[in-house]
Amino acid sequence: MVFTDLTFLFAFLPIVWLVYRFFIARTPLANLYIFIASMIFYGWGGLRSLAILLLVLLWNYLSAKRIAMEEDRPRRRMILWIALAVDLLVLFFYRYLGVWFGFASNALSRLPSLMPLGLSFYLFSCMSCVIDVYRDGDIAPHSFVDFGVLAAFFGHVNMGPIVHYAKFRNQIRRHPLTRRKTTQGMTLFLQGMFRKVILADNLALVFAALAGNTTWLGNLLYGFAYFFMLYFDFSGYSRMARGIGALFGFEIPKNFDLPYTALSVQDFWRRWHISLTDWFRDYVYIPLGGNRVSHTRWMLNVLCVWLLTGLWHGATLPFLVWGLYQGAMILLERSFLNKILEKLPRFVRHIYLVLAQLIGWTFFCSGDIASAFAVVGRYFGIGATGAADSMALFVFSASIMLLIVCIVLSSGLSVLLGRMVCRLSGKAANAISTIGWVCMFAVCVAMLVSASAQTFLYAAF
Amino acid sequence: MKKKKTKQGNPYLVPAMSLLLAGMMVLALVLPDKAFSYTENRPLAKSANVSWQGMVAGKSAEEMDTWFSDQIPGRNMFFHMDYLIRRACGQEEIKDVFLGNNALLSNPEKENEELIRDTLQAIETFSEQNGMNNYLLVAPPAAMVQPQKLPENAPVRQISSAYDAIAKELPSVHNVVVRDVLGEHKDEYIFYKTDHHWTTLGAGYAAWSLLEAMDIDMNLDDFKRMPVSHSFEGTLAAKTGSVFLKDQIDIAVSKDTPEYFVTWADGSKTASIYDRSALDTRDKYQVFLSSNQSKVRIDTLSDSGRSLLLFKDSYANSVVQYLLPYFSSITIVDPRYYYDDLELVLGSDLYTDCAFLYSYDTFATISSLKDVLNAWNEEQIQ
Amino acid sequence: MKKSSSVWINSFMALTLVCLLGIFLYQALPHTIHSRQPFETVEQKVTQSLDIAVYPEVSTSRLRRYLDLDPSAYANIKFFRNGDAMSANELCIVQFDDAQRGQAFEDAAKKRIASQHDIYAGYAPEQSALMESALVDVEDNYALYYVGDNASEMEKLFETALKGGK
Repeated sequence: MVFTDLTFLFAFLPIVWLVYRFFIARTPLANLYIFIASMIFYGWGGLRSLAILLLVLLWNYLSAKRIAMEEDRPRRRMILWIALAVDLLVLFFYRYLGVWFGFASNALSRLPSLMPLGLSFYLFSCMSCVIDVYRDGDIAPHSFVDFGVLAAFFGHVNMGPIVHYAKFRNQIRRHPLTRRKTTQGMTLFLQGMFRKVILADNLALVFAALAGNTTWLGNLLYGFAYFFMLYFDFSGYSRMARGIGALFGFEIPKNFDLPYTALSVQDFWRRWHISLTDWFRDYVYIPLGGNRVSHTRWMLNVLCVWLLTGLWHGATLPFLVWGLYQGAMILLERSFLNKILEKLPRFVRHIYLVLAQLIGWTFFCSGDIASAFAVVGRYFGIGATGAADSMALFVFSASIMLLIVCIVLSSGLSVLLGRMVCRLSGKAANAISTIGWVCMFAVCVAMLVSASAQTFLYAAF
Repeated sequence: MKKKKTKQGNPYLVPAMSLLLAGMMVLALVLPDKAFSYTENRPLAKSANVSWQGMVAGKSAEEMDTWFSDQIPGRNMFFHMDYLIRRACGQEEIKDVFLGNNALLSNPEKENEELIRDTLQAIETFSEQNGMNNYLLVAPPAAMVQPQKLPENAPVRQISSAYDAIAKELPSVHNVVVRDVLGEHKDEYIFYKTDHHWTTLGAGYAAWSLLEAMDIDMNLDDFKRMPVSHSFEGTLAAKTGSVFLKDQIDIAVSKDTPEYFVTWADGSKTASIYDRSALDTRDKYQVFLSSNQSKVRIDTLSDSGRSLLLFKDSYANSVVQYLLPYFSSITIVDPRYYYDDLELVLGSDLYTDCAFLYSYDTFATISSLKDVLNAWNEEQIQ
Repeated sequence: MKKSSSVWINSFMALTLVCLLGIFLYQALPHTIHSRQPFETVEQKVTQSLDIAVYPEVSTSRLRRYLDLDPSAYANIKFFRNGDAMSANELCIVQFDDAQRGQAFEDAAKKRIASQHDIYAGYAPEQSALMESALVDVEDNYALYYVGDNASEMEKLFETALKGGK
């Protein structure tokens, strides 16, 4: 089940939330209820996937408990390594074995299609728990139900944000519902729907229409369509996740913070998929020594983290190249580029970042390296078969409004516009706002009904 | 579109959305399931197959999702709303249909070159052996004939070369060129605005071309076109959810049209090729020769002495009405539904003429004509 | 106390691990037969017990009337069915190189079963019942679709033929 399924919107969510809100919220059964609802949500995609989720949850919960009760340091470390090794084995089995060794047999090549939805996300949440408990045994999860809610709450089990155990665990014990949280939750959920259904799904149509186009305008539109589509798809879904969390009293931290307003690649990664970059920083980069090592070792640490980040996103070469590219850009900035950038006006730095990530995402979405290079070349006119053709012009004229909205939203201008509208509406602000959101929701449902909605891009991870 | 809340937050939002979500759920449960969507012209899922196997793989849940989605209250309203919003935002193409100047035009299909070659070969082999005069007419798509109706810069699939390849003269088959005739009348109402078929007028021009190739004199003005529906919304409307576009369906009758009777595929006989009951359904085009008829035979009181064997797709349905005065019998075979041996048709009567009347889209992508002809061709070799 | 609970936890962890490995093995190992037998041999073994009047061979150019398959996409394909519309009996054997073809065959056969079943449901209950017991067996490089008596016998016969038995 995904958040844009009509079954979720008009059956699962109203029933589960309204019952929780009016009958369950203040009782001791709250977490058990949420856990069972989450298992139903996840099991909707297939009992096979649910079985794997439960086994992974059980494995990590037991590992955390075992580590917490072990006083002997070397043995604690051994249990940690065994726990993480099994987790990584599960990840390897479904995400990499079939892609790297699929040539050996039909059964192996079919494995990636059997991967449970959200495996990379919930596995990383589980590993966060195990590692945090290793570092401080006092914070082991209280019960399997609590742990299950933490790692597999239906709001974030499919597509994150990845849970940082030590920071989130207090909320598991106490997550009271307040009017502020529910209002905020509903707003976030609707904002997310707008981004996903109205922006991302329509950008996907633009992206698909221009695949294979070889003109300059066509390629540029193609690149920017993906540029915005990935952002609004993922940030939209994250927003919906945070919204649903808030509806149940959880405060899930931001996963995106206006990343396209960043002025450097390093800054960009403090604003994009924050939960993943935090995870790699806390559990890979810092244990490797971070920047408190020799210069060469530090550079290797950075590249190692980014290689793994690329690998997390995909098993094929373009993803690895993409990851190393991000790492290389950060190293370049830290070495000498920052000094140059600081002297440039903001506008130019902004263009630098947009170009850098446009190129990066082109590798990310290409099936192979050669076509990625070809597309990037055409952004600069190299190898383009002309400035534009009828297809490029046709798609451009049809998507102008869409692109303008994307730019306004991704630049943060929308917040200012929102405040302006609020001031102008005066006392009627709340009523007008509600009507606005309901209409927007109706438009989303209309689009969902008329098309098989694009499934969330990160669902492959 | 972020609207800032006041300090206490918007007190109306949560109650309003809760009411909306719960209300839709209650409506979905209470309202009876619909079996067919008039707007989309397709059957709707009425139930889901729940089995252990299905639940393990997630297929049962998928079916339940489809069922729920198909039965959502207000589905048609949402479908039309989507069309209007897209149109308002400047979108000029939905699901490969161009939203043109007061018309919807389908993007022509990508041709299957090998299939076209094989079909032409099958037609040639069949024609060499059947002892009749053979004619091939492939109708060009509306997007090719009426480009002035397309939105500006519309990226129409270029099928000119594929279309011209079909028109190459085969030794035993006379190719009937209809593209130019239609082109001369491109500003007339020759294709429906909401459907991929040609109108009765367009079919008339095609019939004239075909009869001219057969050395039969036909004056199109002899046929009076009488409207039978003003509210036809065709396949393209069903695909896009369009609103405000409606078509008129005419039937063409001439004083020279003889009396005739029709023997349908199930053996029943009627005195008219028109199926009036179709006018009360969604797909009003089926008024012409009904639908899914594998074989139809029309016997007329015409004294022409010529009998026609016609292989066709649905485009020919509205052409047949023009052919009635000129043949004493017309046997119509639709290879998509015809599963029997062609020998049953060929062996049961003597035909003077054989025509293949297809639209480009079907001819370039569907293999049923080739399969039916080759089955007969191979038996002749044995 | 602590030692015993750690023993319990260790045991449960081991059990969980075994379950996970069990799932992996099941999913990673092929459980379809890859046959080295030539097509003619398999065909002959499968059809030898069938009445040729009920299952005459049908030319592949007519295959599309029955099954939504492109005969040229398969290394070898044979279809058997008599022309009587009231007879549900039919048989199709295919040989192929890649898993997608096998999947396409399975989908086409299942579609055929469903539509034939619906057609017969109204007026021919015996034929309809025959469709309910129809057999679709997709192995690694061979597949079979069979409607007729003793489908389970046919399944055994097919698998034996693939393994090279008698």
